[in-house]
Amino acid sequence: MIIKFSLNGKNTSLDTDPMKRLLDILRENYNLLSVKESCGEGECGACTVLLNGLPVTSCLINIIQVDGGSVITAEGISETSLGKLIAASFTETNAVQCGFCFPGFLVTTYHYLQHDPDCDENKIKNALSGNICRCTGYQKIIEAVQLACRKLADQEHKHEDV
Amino acid sequence: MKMYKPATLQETLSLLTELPAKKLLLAGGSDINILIKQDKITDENIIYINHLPELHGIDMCCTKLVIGAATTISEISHSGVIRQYCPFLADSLHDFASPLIAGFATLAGNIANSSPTADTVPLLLVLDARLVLKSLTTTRMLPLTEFYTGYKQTRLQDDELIIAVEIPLQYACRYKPQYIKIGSRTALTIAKAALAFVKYDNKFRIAAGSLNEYPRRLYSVEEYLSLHPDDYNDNDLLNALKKDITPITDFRSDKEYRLQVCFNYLQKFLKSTNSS
Amino acid sequence: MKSEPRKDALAKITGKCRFLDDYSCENMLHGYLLYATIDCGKIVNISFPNDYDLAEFTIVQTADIPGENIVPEPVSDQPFLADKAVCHYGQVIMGIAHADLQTLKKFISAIEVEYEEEEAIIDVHSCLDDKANQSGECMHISHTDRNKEKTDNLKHIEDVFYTQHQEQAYLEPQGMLAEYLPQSSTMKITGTMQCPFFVKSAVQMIMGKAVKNVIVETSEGIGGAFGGKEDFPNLLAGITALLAYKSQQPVKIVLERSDDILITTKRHPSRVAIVSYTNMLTGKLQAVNIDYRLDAGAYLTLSPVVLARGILHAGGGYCLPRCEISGYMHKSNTPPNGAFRGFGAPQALFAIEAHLDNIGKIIGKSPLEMRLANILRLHDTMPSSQSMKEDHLYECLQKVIEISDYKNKRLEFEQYNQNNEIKKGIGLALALHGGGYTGNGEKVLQSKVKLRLEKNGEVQIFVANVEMGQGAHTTLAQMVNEELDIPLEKVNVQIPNTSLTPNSGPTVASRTIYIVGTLLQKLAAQIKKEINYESLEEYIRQHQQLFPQEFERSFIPDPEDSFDEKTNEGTAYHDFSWAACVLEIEYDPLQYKIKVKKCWNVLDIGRVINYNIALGQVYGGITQALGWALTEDIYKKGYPRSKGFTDYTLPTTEDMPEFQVEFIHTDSAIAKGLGEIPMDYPAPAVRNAFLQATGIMINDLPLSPERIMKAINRSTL
Repeated sequence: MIIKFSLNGKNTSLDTDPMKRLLDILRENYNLLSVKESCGEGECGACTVLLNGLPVTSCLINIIQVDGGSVITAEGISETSLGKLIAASFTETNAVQCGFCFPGFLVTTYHYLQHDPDCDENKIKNALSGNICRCTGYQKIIEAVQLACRKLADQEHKHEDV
Repeated sequence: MKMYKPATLQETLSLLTELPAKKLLLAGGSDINILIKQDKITDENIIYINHLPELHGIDMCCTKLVIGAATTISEISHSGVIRQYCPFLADSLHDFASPLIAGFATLAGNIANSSPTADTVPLLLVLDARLVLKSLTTTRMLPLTEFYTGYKQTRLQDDELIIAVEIPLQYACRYKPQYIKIGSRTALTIAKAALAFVKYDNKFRIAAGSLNEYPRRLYSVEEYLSLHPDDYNDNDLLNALKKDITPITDFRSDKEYRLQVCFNYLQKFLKSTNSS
Repeated sequence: MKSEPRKDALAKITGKCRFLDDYSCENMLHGYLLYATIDCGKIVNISFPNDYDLAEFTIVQTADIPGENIVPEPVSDQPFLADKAVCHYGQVIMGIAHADLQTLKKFISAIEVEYEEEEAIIDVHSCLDDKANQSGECMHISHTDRNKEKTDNLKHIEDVFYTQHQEQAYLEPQGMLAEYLPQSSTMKITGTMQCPFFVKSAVQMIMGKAVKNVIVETSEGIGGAFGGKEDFPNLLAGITALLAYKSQQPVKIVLERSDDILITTKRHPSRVAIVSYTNMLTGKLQAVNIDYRLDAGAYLTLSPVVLARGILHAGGGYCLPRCEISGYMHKSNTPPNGAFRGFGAPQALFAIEAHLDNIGKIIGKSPLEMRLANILRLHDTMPSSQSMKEDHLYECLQKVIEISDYKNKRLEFEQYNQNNEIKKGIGLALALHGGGYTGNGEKVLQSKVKLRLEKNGEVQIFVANVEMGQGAHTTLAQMVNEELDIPLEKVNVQIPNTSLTPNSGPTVASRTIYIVGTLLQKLAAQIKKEINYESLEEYIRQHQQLFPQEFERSFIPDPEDSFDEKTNEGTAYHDFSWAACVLEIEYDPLQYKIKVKKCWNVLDIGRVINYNIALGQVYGGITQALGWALTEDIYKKGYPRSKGFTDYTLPTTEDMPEFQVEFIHTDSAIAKGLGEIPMDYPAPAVRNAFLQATGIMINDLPLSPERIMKAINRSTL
């Protein structure tokens, strides 16, 4: 089946088994290796990508569901100014340890900040509750998201001043 | 596995009629992909339906909410209409799976997958939800209470498709249902037990998940309480509950625990409605 | 305390860092494992499916092994591949490779193995209660303090504690890539591992004389390990190498999560029985007898090393005038249990910390009074007769009591609990953790490190210790850059590779910073002294002909340290890290569920090199410990085992308490061990907090709602 979709802002199409997992297509056909397989059953978030703007576990998405839609991976997000701001915040608080889960956290955090950049700890915890990290105890990840929220607010403040 | 992507709802219904048994409908895919991984799906025909516009959307029609079958859990919990007319449903879906799954898992998918632990079903049962089932030749309404017949068994005919879920507003609006989902952790959890409860005019609708072969209403408890809305006693209540549920011991929990927490919350909900 | 950002942060956040599954090479085959699906028995017959062309597959069985079919371990009793006998579920029977991964997996699931099943021991109680399952040598410590007081009025109290398996659950499943180069008779291994030199020995063992050179390198990123990538990679690398040798093509194996959980090593379940005699007036423990047992699983492998650490930590942070500690290994039919952060200490400390609270409850002393009466102070002796050279544990306790407002909270909660359905509790626990290998281990290891000063002024660090998330490669670079007085970005740790890096030992036992880092620091100081430069960059620029230049240094043990491995007497660990923890919970009696609210920690880990990295280790360790304490379990008697993250429930963001962490003596000369100690104390602290909240003593982990409900029902009978 021919599947057409937008990937990190560019239109693409491929002829493939429509039941193939989005995770495998991204890794194997597009060499987008930020998308990691860890649990393979939607329970860890290491394979998170944005599908039509929403963070989803790409191990549970069949490529047919992507037809006509848009996919953004950590590779795409890291090129955006918001993505860079998040990456800098993660680095600043030392949120990262082994890093295997981190592209997934980047994607989920990006979505959170795009829609509701609120510093509230409980809101952040809830937004990130589908992403498992075994190394960090999440504390520094949450601090990083809060830091990114503040940076974002500062930026908007500056824009208003201008 | 053979894949079909019908262009229209009509075509979908024709396919359902024509194709032999062993067919699966794919909308969100959160359950099907687990089954594929576990080698539990091999030669089924798969019909993709997520792109059909008739299956999407949330509407208010007179005294009921109509939710398209392929509406996602997060669309429901974020919907302005639902938040306004049925905040109970929006709030209760907060603990559904995880934010990364709620974005593509669909309402009818959760119902039709027929898991004993399906999160949406106890909620819909106390809201007296009905399913709109459509085949090439008929459209019928089936109360959700009558949908399941056994473990992974339903009254859905081979040629039928759930196209919408209807929720009458009489319970959702006028009374305050309560809900608890008990799992080993807060997020990303499969219910060990779930209980949904509403009291109206000294009558009760109570439904439980993970305590039977499918989520179901607790009719004995309802009946006992309707006779004793204010003078129930714990022993009789427990006995009624035991008639309604058949909790099991498995890797996730024990039957004794499942029964006890269900009973604890039943008492709690009763107390809170009596005191208010 | 500095908080330099990690060198690898950006590459990991953006997904550029390569983990093993991101590697591929030309003509690469995918490999996978066929493993036993019974717990115990004999293989009677193996039949391959008819509808596949067998010639397309590379299959390795015991007969294909040119070397020895024994995984080298402290006790080398585990075969790489099962021959006839199967001792545990998940025991590997053969390795299989094919160019297409889907085809390979379908083929493997179509292979039928016929077994003759035998009775198996799976659950922790059947394994550890029965002395008949004992295997290997037992270990003893017997200690009598010369200055012991004689008292009457002793209270005799007995407790038995059990703890369950724990899965490391590193987010990156285990994987290995083997490339065989026939021209040079070289086997090159790349993989997820903590101990490249162990993997090298394992590959040499299975390949025997068939291969002359074995080179082992770690993948660029290692997605968490926690001990789980200490011993299993030996087996996995051996089989992958064998497949590459037979197929003459590169082979990559990456485990699926379910298989990773089913077949790899876990934390040892334990049974710890304590008999104690306590002075009723003072709360002082006069005599203690500890029977410490570990479920080794189907093979002993490295269990004796875990056992040694376990018994040497069994007395906890307490001065025990008379004590007898015995350690035993028991065999069962689960995959061999192996290394996991804490390495025998969490089991030991859970028991002694809980026992102390139980005694206090019975004789009417508060947990704090019990600890003050018994805590190890300066010059006190430990069960190994090692003398305390610092009073830092006591300082940790004082400080944690102060910052948590422990005394007031305890009283406040007692009041609160009388009038509220939700119960609050506060728990206290102490921990000690010996840095580096036990006893003479470091002396035997003789770790060696190397620094190379490049022409361009950069400094390369060559050590065998891996970056698996703990931040070692940033912290080690900091230890060198600070000593050499050059910018941090000029110093980099090379990816460990057995042909390039000296053997600085495995990445285990909280030893990377403490042993290897200290060694590097000394080497850097030596270089600075020898060259005697003002500015190293300037010096190199002016003496280009001298560079690149390499410098090496080996570990020199303290001549004062001696340890008798027969009696377990002497310097068990040259340095201990110390910690004290106060933890607050809320208990919901409707769900029988514990929610951890706050966790105060005071630690002495000596000098803190990178504050943020150190904090990350503490937060992460506590979180793993809370998972162990509350929700993580693998086996339940009579039910299919947990094999995915759906049922192996790891803590999520929403399960996290509020943390407060303070380090003391951060200006010490020595940076001590850090990685493991945060794993050691949270479980008993939760358990003790639950005891305050409800008055109920639960001596088993995990503190699941189901277990709590049973205990509550028993207590109200």
